[in-house]
Amino acid sequence: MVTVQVRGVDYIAVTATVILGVLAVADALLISITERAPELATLRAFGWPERTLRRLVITEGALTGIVGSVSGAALGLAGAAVFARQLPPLLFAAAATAAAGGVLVTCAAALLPAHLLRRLPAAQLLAQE
Amino acid sequence: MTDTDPARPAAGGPAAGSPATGGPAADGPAIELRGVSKQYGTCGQPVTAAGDVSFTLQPGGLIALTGTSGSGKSTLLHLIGAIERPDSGTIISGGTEVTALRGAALAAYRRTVGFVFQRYNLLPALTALDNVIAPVLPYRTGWDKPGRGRELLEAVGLGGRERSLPSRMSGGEQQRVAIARALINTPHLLLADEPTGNLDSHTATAILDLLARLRRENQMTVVIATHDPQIAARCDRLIRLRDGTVVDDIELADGYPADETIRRAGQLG
Repeated sequence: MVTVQVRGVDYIAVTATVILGVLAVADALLISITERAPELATLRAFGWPERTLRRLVITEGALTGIVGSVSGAALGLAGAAVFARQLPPLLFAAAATAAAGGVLVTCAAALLPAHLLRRLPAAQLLAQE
Repeated sequence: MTDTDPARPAAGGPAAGSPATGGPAADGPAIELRGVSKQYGTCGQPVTAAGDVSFTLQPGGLIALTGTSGSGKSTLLHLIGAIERPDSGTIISGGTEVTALRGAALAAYRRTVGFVFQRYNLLPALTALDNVIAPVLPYRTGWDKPGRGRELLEAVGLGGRERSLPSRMSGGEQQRVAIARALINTPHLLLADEPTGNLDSHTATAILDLLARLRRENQMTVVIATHDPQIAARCDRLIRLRDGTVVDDIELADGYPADETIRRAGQLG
C-alpha cells in the first residue's frame, strides 16, 4: 500500500532538486545568450537599451519557469495519483506552491545571465577585421 | 511593453507615416573625432586600434575608411557608433559629446546611427520585414512600423519578400535587408563595415549603387570601411589607416584621379 507521507529525507531531496533546477535554468539561459550573443549585440548597436535586453532574458526565464513548473507539478500530481489513488487536498496546495516557487526560482536564475549581458563583447561580436 | 523613443523630436518632427531624422546641427559637422584613442590588451601587450585619431565628417559625405586587416577600420566605426568607448579623446555629433553619453541617452544616440555589417547580422528566426523593424520594436514611434518597413524593403528592391526568412535569401538579398534595417530610424549617419566583403563583385557593385542612391535620397553621411580599392574609388573622401592612425586623408570630389585613389587605397601597411 502506498501512502502520501513526507519524511525528513524528502526535504533533502526537494532542496537538492530545487538547487539543481536553479543551476540548470541558469545554465540553459546562459548557453542561449552565448549562442545568440551576436543577435543581442546587434540589437544593442541599433539602440535597444540595456534594460530592454535584460527584460528579454528574464521574460524568457519566466516563460521557461512557467512551462516547466506547471507541467512538472501537474505530472507530479498525476504520478502520485497513479500510486496513491486518493490524494489529500494538502498535496494540491503543495503542488501549486511548488509551481509558484518554480517560477520564482527560474526568474531568480535568469538574473545572472541577464546581469552578464552587460559584459557582452559587442565590438568583437560585430567586428570582421 | 514598449517605451517611447526619446531620440525622436516631438515638435517639427516626422511627416505622417515616417520617422524623423535625428540628425546633426544644421551647419555643423556630422561627426567630429578629437584625439580618439583605443587600445586592446592581449596578454599584457596592448594593441593600438585607434591612436590619437582626429577628423571631421561633413554631412552628406560618402567616406571610405581603408587599410589592411587590423588597421582599426572596424574599431573606428564602433567608436563613432558608440558601440565602444574610446580610452581617451572625444567624439561629437550634432553638438552632443557622444563619448559622455550613458544609459538611455546613449541608446537614443545609437538610434540616430545606422549600421551595416559584413555578415549582415540578421535575426534568423525573424522574417525580412520583422528584421527591418527589429530596431524599433521596443518603442512607440508614432508612425506605422510595418508600413515603414515595407517601404524600405521596396526601396532596396525587395518588395514582396517581406515574409522571407534570411535562410531563404541570397547574400545580396540579406545585405539589402540589413541596409533597410539600418534605415528604419532615418539615421543621419550610416556606418557600413565591409558591406560587400561576403558578396560577389556584381552584387557588391549593386549594393554600393544602392548605398550611394540612398545616401543622396536621405542626405545621410555614409562611412564605408573597406579594403577594396575599387569601392574606395567611388567615395568622395578616402581616409586610410595604418596601425590605428590616419596616414592619408584625401578629398576625391575635386577630380582626384581614380587610378591614384585605387593605388593609394590599395597600399599595404
